[in-house]
Order: sequence, then C-alpha cells, then structure tokens
Amino acid sequence: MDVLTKSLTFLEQRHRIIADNIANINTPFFKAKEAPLDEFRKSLADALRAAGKTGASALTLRSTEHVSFGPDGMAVTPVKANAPDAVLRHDQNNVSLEREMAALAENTLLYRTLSDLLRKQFMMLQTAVKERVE
Amino acid sequence: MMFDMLDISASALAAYRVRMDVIANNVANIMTTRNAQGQSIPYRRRVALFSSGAPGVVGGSGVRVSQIIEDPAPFRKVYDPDHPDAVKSGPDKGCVNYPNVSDEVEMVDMIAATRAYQANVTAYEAGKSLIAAALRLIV
Repeated sequence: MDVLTKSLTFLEQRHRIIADNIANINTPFFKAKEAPLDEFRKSLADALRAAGKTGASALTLRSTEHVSFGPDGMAVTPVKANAPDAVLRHDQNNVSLEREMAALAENTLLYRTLSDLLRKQFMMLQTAVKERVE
Repeated sequence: MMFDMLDISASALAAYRVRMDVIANNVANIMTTRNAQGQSIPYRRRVALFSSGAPGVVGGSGVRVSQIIEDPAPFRKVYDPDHPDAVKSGPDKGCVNYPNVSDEVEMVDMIAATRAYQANVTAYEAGKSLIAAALRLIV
C-alpha cells in the first residue's frame, strides 16, 4: 500500500512538470524539464528490499539528489530533460509537444492504474472489516 | 495540495487567451491610420511576450504574459494622395502609412496560439482525471 501511495505522489509531481513544459511551449529560452524517474525507482526498489529483509510494513525511502522525503511529504526537483536542441526554433526553446503529450498520456494512465489498485486494496480491507463478501 | 496542479495549465490558458486577444486586436486594426486621440499616427502591431513562472503558482511553474510590446517594423506605405492621412511633404508625399500588420503573420500566429491552447486544455483535463482518480479512493 505504501508503494502505491508513494508512487502516486511522485506521479502527481511528474504531472506538474509535464504541465509546466506544455504551458511553456512558446516561452523563449525555456528548456524542457523532466521528473527524475530513475532516481525515484531506485530509491523505491532499495526501500522495498530493506523492508523485505526487516519485515517492516512501512517503507522508508532515502532522499536522493532530486527527490527528497521529509516530514511534509515528498519534494521533487525537476531535472533538465535529455532533449536535443531544436535547431529549427529561433527562440532557443526545446520543448517537443509530441513528447510531452505522450508523457502526459502515459503518466495519466499510470496514475489511474495505481489508484485503481489502491482502491481495490481499500475494498479488500473493507471486506475484511465487514467479515462478508458483497 | 493536489488541486493547485491545475493552476499550471490554467495560467497557460490565460496567457494564450491574452495572446489571442492581442492577435485579434492586430487584425481588427489592420487598416487603422489614426490613434485613439484622432492623430494621424498609424496603429503599431503588438506582440505578447511570454515568460515562465506565473504569479500564484507554486514552484515557479506556469507561464505569464510579461509584456505587450509594439513591433518596431516600418509601416506599410500605400500611394493614395486623396486620403486625409496621406503624408503632406517630404519624399513620401502622397503616401499613406498603414499599420505594420500582416494578415499572413497574424493568421499563422493565431493557429499556433489555438493549438497551444488546445494542448493546455488536454493537460488540464489530464490533471482533472488525476484528481478524480484520487477522489475515487473514497469508496
């Protein structure tokens, strides 16, 4: 359950970064940004491995360079996207609309999938609490 | 707070609305040879300048219109000596200065602004569906 909530929080931050890129598609000198997905994935995998060893149910994620976990939740610092400089654009902007729209669609589907999984888990808890299957 | 992620796309929608208004104003004034005070000063094409980071949006995200500037390009000259705003003396005698607005440029800008607006509507809808998915957790 903790994996799902942590991932959902990260995906929410990722949506902000993608929305910011799309908002700035025509802003001169703007450079595309990206959520540090690999960093988050690694720190989640490390936390899962540690939890598996100790048998703890709650995950303790270690902060990385761009993803920090504090008392007030997760803070994600965007990183510079690995996008080629758009030679055909005079305004030095390198946001690719297609890339961002694809990322947006992927992020939304992923978020919905994970939230559905979380909802199913809550429903299982409800079933257990009620002691009968509906 | 989750709801404020919609502010990023909303700031872009507002900015593109302004850009659209500026373009519409340029097209509307394509033949305007006098200013608001009635003086023979033609309308100058205006351009909305964008800069990243909208006021009130967390984390310096979003976009805002930082400035609306006037295009310094020269006016279009059309020879029409009977026009009341024709130049009275000098080498351009008999020419009327028309605004430096070009139909083609404005149309292309309008299409670009429309498409960018649509892209941001899509991002807004995606944000809404994220919030809806999170709210569905309350069964």
